Amino acid sequence: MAAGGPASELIMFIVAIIVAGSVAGALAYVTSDIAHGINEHGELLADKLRTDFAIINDPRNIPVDTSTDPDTYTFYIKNIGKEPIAFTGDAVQVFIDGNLIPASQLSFESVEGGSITSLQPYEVGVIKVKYNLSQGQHTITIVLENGIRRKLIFHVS
Amino acid sequence: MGFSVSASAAIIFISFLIAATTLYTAWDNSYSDVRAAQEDWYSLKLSQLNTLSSLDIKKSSVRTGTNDKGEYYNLTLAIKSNGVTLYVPHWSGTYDGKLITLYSVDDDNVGFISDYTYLLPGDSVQLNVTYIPRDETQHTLNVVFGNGCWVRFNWYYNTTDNTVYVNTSRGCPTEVS
Repeated sequence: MAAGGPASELIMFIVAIIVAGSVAGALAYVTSDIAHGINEHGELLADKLRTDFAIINDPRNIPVDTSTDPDTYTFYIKNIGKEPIAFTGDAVQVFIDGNLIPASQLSFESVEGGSITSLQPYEVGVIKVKYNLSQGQHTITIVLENGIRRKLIFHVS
Repeated sequence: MGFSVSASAAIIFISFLIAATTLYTAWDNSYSDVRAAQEDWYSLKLSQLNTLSSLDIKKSSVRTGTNDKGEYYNLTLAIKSNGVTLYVPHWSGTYDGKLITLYSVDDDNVGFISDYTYLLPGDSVQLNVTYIPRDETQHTLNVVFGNGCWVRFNWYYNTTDNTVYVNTSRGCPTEVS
């Protein structure tokens, strides 16, 4: 103990500051992570509440193109929410009678027939589904990337 | 030794204060955002619950004519709002299954008779469907409002008594599970 009391005091002080700084740093990291999670979860929830859409087809008269193989059915989607809707095969899932339609059998278009990737509020978009359907009643369920979904029971004659 | 403890305690205390402030700010921002979104959601649901539309018979009419394709009739359907005010430019529609533009009658034979903006409760807007072949084929016009609610008109021309019979139905989108 040749260094004497002041040196050990200094060492103790430095160690205490390093330990306290490490604790503070860890706390800051964890807090930032939690705050980020809160913000993300809030945004997701707000986005879900602001997102809504409707399938606006006449259920007894779904446009169909029988010149393709399989047939191509046309469904009209209207954004009735306050947020734009991602409108691509990666973001939207389509089920017919409970069967998931692969993205390769779907096309997402504007009402003019052009390619689009999102639907602005109150805008209408077109989903063309290549699928063979028998005569009778069927159900289409459309699910957005945030889980919002709508169902239409339609009739094929 | 006492100074070391005080300094480290101060650092940890200040870091706790900063952490609490950060968490409160994040929670407050998220809460405000979610509350605002909840208001939008309520607003849409209330709008849907209070949407009530019908066919205004007094302002609806039929006219017949003949052109090079044969006999036809033009139908004017008056949509009356008995519920909330509706913003007409946000409306969409399908006629016999196909999507149509409602602001112009020239492109698809279906359109408003003038440029409407707001449809106030008790008022009506008139929509023309033109050059319909004069036979007994059933036709359907589906008009969808900005909030997703719809009014649907099914009609046919009875060639025996030269009368158009219109059936009206309406609804709103519902949640599915």
